[in-house]
Amino acid sequence: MTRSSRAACAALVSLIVGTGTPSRGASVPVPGTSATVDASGYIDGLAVVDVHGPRQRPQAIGELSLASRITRALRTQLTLRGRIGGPFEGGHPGVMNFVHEFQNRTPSLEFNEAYAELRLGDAQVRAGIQKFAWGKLDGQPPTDVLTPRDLHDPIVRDYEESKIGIPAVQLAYYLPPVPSIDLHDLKVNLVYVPIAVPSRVALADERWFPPSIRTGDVDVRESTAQGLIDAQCPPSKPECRVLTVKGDQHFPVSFNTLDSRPPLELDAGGIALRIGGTIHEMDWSISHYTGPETGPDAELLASANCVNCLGTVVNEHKLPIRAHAILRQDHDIIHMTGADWSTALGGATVRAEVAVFQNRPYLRISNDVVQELLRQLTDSRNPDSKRRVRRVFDGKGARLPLNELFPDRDSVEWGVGADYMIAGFLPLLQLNQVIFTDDGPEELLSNPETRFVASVRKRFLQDTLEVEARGVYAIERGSWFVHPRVTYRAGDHWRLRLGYLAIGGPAESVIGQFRDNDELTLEARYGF
Amino acid sequence: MKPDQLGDRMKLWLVVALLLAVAPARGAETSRQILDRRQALDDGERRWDDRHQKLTFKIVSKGTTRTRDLELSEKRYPADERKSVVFFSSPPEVKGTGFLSFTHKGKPADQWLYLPELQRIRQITSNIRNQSFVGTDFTYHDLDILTEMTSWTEADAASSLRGEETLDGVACHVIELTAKREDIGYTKIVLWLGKDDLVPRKLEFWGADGKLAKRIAQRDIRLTGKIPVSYATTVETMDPSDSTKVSSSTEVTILETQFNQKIADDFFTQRTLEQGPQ
Repeated sequence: MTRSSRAACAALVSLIVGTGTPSRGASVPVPGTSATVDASGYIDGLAVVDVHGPRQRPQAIGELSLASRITRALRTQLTLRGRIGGPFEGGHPGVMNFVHEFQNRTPSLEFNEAYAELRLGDAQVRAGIQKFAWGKLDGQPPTDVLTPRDLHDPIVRDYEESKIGIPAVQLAYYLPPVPSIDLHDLKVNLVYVPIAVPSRVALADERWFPPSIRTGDVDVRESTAQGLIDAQCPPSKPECRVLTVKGDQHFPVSFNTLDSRPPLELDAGGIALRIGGTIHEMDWSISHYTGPETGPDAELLASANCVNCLGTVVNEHKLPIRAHAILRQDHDIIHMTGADWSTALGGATVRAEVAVFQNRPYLRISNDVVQELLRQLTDSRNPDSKRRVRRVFDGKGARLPLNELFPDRDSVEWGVGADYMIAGFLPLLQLNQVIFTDDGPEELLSNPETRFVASVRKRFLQDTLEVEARGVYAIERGSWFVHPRVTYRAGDHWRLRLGYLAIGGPAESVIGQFRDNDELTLEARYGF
Repeated sequence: MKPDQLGDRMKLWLVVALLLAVAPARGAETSRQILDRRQALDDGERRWDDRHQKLTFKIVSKGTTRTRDLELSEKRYPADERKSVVFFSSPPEVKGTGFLSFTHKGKPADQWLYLPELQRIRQITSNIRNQSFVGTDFTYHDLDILTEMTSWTEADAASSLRGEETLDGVACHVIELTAKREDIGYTKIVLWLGKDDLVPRKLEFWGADGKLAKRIAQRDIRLTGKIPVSYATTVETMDPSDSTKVSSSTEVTILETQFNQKIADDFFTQRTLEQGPQ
């Protein structure tokens, strides 16, 4: 651990301890000024008993939030988050940055929020590192695209807690109500995001790295391997007839992830607009975002080589090709136009949301991309393929022309849901769907991809004990997860949580690819 | 005087004497008169259009104690409409949570919840009337009853005067209200009203099973302007299996209270939830 990292972690711990005396929420005045500071936060410990899959070490997260009121109009917010342990493998200490997609820092320090807010009558300006929460549906609302997430623990960790603050400038203006049509709470938000901040994706050896992306060793049928050779040296030539392989061929593939920071250009950032309000007690909003994709985005690069290639074919009838694949961080600009709505109907609350996307990257199954490559390479009419395979066979190595792993697609994502309180139980049912509206390759998502989301929650013993179960079922792929958990609140500061995550379905699906990640979780949190 | 006339006059006096015997003694009132007098005070010199309070709830249950600190702002509108905003400042898990409610007579309330960890305002179901208010011994319905009880008529709950008692040195009228409306949720409510100030000192809520369900005691009554406020209230929930035993209790302490501050209408908006307590 470097000296600076030790110092940073020590500072965070001392801040937490120093301000973490059980507080009744009172603001502390800053001596000599009229400003006040309100400190809060938590220390969280999570232990994961992994039933299957790669390990996840216990982790501790400490978060310290300092909200200050400098004047009536000027406020600031600083949220620091430190973490030790968890799903990181081969991690090293450091401060999380805003530009890299593959970061495995432990212990780590993160500036989750650091902004100043100026309130000028009906206008409000907020500048700095901040998070956004758009949309109304449960889970991941389709229009909630401004803020990237840390995907190292994507299901157990609360959706909002996993968000990463991004540098941005937000202007908000509260418009006057229109009583004649019962329109009120009108608000316009304009957001400028100067740099692209990517989501943080697990690294290849870590528990939550998507198996569908990993290009494992490639097993090639004898006919395909022979096709690669024949494309270079057709059997019509007598000298080529000795070049035959026997049996299916196994090509080892090494795999790594690689960061690639976003371009530092003005048009690499994003801009967003949201207008919302309430009409006849129905909440609504319309939004648009043009800017960097904040979900996982990467390109798959591969190269291959073959040492003593033809000699091995002649003597051993094997093709000793070795490949190297790199998942490199990528950057795409997307366009989203969406709307959301909610209202109370009888005793239920109904919510609906839709988002239309242009040029949004969606993940394919890497094995499909590899098979397409093999078909391309065995096409003797393709001069580029022939040239590349020739270089491989000559032992010089060549880049392989893989198709996009995250091709840009146009799509519509929508959902509708409702919850209703019955005898203290709060069940929620929601339907989400993704529909691709253009022609494109087969994705990891089906077209359409329809998911049922269900959850139920009940509190007992005067809200000290909460039992909750949440599940998602993707109809077309037949993949699912269920996450029941029990939460006990001991006193005013402690929260204990026991949960179990079960995942099932085919490996070639967004959810089912994590079917080996069933786990029992135990979490203890001290809030202050 | 003829004998018939004497007999008639005696009958008349007898009738008058009987009437005087059953008529309320001079100065004694019926329960309805007492309640009407109380309502007249609440509509008159004790009337408030808006209020702002800082409160602490201390919940004691099964040997554990939890606290809730909150700030309440409420405004009354014509036709029994009310708007309120509540912000929680403790415990840590609910700190910064805001709750906005528009209550209407005869239809469900419109409610929004702001959760700081979500940074999102959510419209929520109002079908929570029988749920505990933030884990206290009040339900949302109890809070509604306490507010609207003052304006009940005999059509809502029949009143009868049980007598008088002294509580903590305060002489009280004891009035029994027998619910006529099913949505009241309790079969009867017994009310101890101070004789001098008509401020409730104790309330008992009785369930359909004939057992005592809840008990509220109000102490430390002080005037804020001309409005009496109980600065210390205890709510006890009785054990359903033995209604003489208390299963849990909540102590409500008012730290600060202000009335008729002319809170602006635009305070009761989602903007206030987002921006937090001022």
